[in-house]
Amino acid sequence: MNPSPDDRLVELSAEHSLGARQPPKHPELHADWHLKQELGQLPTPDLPPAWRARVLAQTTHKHRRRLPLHWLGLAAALLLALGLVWFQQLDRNSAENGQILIAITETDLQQLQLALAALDDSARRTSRIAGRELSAPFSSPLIQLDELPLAPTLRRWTEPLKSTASDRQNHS
Amino acid sequence: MEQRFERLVDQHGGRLLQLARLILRSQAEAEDAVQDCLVKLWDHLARLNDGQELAWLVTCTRNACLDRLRTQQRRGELMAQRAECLIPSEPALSPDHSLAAELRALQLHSAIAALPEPGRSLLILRDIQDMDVAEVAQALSLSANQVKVYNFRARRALRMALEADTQFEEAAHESIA
Repeated sequence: MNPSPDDRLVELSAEHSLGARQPPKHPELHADWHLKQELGQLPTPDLPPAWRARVLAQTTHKHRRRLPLHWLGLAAALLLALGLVWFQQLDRNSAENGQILIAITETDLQQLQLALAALDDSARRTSRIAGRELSAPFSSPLIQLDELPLAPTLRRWTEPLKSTASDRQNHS
Repeated sequence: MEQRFERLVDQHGGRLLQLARLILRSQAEAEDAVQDCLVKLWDHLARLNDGQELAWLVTCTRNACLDRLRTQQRRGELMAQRAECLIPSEPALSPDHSLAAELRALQLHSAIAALPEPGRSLLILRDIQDMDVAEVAQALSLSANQVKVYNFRARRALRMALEADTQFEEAAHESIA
């Protein structure tokens, strides 16, 4: 039979009375109070050290051991990346070296000479045309030294130069 | 987080082992059950607020123990475990306690272990370990008044069982005499 709400209230009140420092006067509650005191004096066991170490090894220490593995993984990835870069560089260098080692055949040389001659002809023709076109704008007016300002001073500076140049021609 | 976890292990490990041992009646089984819960706690710790850990641990340990108990009962190993319970693997009391006190403690442990749930857990958590009513209520999914009333009933049932044992022993002594 289930206890009625009134029974529950009685039990609740009895439980509250067992929390007092002095034992209740009712004999049943008195015995309950003593049992409660006795249970409260049962010691809680200490942690076995080996068990504690096992728990920590499975949790926090495992976590600590995992950290260096992360670092090792990063280091391995870095080394791999460096290796790939080095390998690509090596591959590029060998390709460049290969271009240098291409042998030129006699036909290639003839084609090259023909191309250079064509360039030479066209360069000469271009130069001639350019000279003809540009000669008119660049034709300088004839200016005499005496027409310039400070002509005597200039003549005094230029004459020693002229004489030195004529001396050299005489010596040679 | 590691410091918080170690503090929780040191603070509550003993009471969890006691709870598990009194439910499972085996030190080795109790250590395994609590260890499993602490490993789970390590995974959940970041999501638990301060002050919630004990209730979480008690719930986890009690559920793990009851699961193991059900498995044991299915396998019919309960009788063997009872025999182991009577021989504790470590001294329950300090050396200055008398033999009578140790025997009384063993008697109390055996009688508590034989109680049905949730009375057994309530006696351990409230009367032996003096846990707060609100924490016990949270851990066992009960109201505060339910905790008090069920605790009262469990203690009364324990006292009746102990008195019955005593009467049985006295009758046995008289018959021998």
